[in-house]
Amino acid sequence: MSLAASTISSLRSQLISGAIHPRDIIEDIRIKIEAADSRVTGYLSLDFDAALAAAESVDVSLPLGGIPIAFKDNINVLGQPCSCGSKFLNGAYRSPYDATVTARLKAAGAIPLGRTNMDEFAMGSSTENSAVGVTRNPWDVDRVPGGSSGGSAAAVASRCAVAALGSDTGGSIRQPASLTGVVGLKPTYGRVSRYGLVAYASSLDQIGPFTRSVADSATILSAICGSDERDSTTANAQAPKPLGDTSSLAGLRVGIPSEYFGEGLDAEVRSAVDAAIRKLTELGAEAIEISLPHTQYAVSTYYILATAEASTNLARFDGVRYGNRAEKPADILDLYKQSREHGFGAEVKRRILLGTYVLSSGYYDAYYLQAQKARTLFRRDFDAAFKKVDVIAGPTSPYPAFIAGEKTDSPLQMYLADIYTLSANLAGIPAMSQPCGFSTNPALPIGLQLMAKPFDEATLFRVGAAYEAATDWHLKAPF
Amino acid sequence: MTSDKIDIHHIATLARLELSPEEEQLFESQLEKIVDHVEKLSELDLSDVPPTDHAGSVVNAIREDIPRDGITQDATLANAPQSARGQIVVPRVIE
Repeated sequence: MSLAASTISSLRSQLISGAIHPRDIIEDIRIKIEAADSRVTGYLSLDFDAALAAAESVDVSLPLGGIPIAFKDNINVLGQPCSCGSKFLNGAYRSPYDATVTARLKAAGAIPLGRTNMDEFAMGSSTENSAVGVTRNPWDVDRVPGGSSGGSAAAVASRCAVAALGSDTGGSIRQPASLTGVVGLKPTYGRVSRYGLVAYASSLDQIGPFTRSVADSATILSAICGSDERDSTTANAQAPKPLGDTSSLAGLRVGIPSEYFGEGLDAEVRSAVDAAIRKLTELGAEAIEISLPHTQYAVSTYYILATAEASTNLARFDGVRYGNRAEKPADILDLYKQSREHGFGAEVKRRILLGTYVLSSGYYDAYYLQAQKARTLFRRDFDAAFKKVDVIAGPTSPYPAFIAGEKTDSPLQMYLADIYTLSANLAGIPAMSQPCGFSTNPALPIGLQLMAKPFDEATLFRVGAAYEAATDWHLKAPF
Repeated sequence: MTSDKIDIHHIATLARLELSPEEEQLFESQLEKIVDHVEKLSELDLSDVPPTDHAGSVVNAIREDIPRDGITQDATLANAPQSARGQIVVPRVIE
């Protein structure tokens, strides 16, 4: 197996034994990227010189010593571009600082390599809303990689990155992980600092890893988690325990939410997820049917809250301090309006408008407050479920990767792609997608979603690693 | 819930967006469809349910207010579209 296609754990043992040097991994990634279709490598920009320089002095005894990691283009890395997939920032901004996750990965010996494509400001489910580049699914270039972290997913799936970071506000790590056949983790709200992540919806955003194994996901989470005085929502929680015995799931109760298997679920996705749940029971787990009764309200609740927060968060893009500025504004107000009109793409404008509308005088109580109250019901649904079960299993996405262009004319259809992922963000619980099968004709990856109690990523890793050890879906590569 | 017609021009002004007439027409019809969908929440009786503003467990995190080095003026100005004499230039605000 090539170095670029290896897991972090395998590379780490080779680095420690001295069999390979960190530069060998970076050189192998370079070869892989040059050989692949640039639409499936997922990158917007790459700085090999900086990565190779870092590789010369890195301490390989550190937990991630010598491991190159790709970054979604909304996470700041000192001196690198950070376009957020937007014309507003592309070519006009270089990060003057490291995000906390960046600083922590560097301190753990990881080497930042490459910026990955995304839906503009993380708004989308297909990466088609990027104003900067086109990313397609490595399994079928006519199809989307999912989104909004589609570039990170495609880079890891195409073996053009060992691991990558993404951000997940309503499914933006898990859904592209599902559609490209890799492991994607959205940690608990408060687990990972967002300092240096360009904010979309601050009450929902979390940073998490894309990897090719569950163990690698746990390794990266351990490096980036923990409280940070620069993000006041971070909790002082214990890092997840190292993976224990993954040969048996005896005593584990797996909840199967009936609402996740209803109308709209693709038949092949259903049968792959059903088979995965059977596998968990063969490993000793007990499957228990549960109900998450408010699932049908997730899209409505999410799109009110997320757009409201986005409309305020994106007010900072005014053309004054950084990014796009109008050429000849009549006055300061015109500078704001013209800079934003020309800097933002359609989906970003749509969400800013919706968010402004639901917060505007006369509509606040009817929409925003109503959605905040509905959000409480999602927490209650999960609280009730986790009294009966240890983990919840279901599909990540209602269907495998769709054809590019298929949903771009209907924003609402695109929003419905996230029906199974939104609830975890609303309730703040950790959730992970991992490969659990393929569709036929064409063969496209299918993802299993696991959800657990707040700060219980350890259970996600235990279940995910046991499933992974008993199956080989995670070993399949697109080419 | 109300489902009045959306005054897209007013909303765009609040959002500091200068939309073209074509955009106003498109966004108005798309937003009306989305708002129709989110009206679904009015099915729920939420009169006795408290609102949740975020799902975190941390409340009022505070720390000592100790001055320390931050991002430098030079690094900040490097990203500014227009600057002069160590400051960001904008159109005249006060006549």
